[in-house]
Amino acid sequence: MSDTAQQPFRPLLAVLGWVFPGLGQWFAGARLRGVFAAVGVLGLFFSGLLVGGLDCVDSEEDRLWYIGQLGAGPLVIVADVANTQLLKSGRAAPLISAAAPYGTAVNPADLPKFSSFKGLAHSNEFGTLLVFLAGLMNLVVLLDAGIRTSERPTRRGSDAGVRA
Amino acid sequence: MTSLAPFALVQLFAWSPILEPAPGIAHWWWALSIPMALFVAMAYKATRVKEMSEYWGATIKMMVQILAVMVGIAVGLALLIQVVLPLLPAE
Repeated sequence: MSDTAQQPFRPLLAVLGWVFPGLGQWFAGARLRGVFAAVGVLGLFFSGLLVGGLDCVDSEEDRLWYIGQLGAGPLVIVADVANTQLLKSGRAAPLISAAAPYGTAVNPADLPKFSSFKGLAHSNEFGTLLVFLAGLMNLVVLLDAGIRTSERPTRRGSDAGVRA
Repeated sequence: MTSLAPFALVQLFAWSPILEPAPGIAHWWWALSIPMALFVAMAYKATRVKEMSEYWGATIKMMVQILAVMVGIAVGLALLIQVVLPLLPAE
């Protein structure tokens, strides 16, 4: 049987871990773990945004991906709102019309419009995947935060961080 | 032959990070597996190692394992598609 079964789950720490990656560990007293966990999760998140742009977080067009991405916390919601407010509205970059189906005569005004900053192919795929992985890894991190014990030195010596 | 380097530089300087996708990913998308494996290993090992003194060793080891398995799967699939499947009878 795992030794983690003896440690009661503390939901508040898990919630803190969702609000900001690593915050649950930080408040549990395992600050260094919290910092490294945050660097890992936020590294995935911001790598995804750098590679795929804001378009890789999209609650309307990529809903299933978005549900997994939400594990990384409110930052994902902010990115989705920014995508809607800046890209889809045309405020950050001009909107361009989709191509008409071959051989059809369509009024250009009737064609759907997309941001010229929209991600395509590898950039969109890898960006979406990286942010999705950030969400999944933060689930691991926040569940760990719920059962994490303090890492302050104890009389028993170097058992810091070992779950009770 | 005309070099594409000046064009790539212009693209890079015209890039608005975060707002728009990074330019030129199509040529080096596979290299993104390295930071991906590193960050996944960093987050995971932060929750798993018993002593933080073991952290970086365990992280690098896991990163290498992830990359090795990905390369292994890629080589296996390439062999399957390019060597094994063409040997099968068409009918």
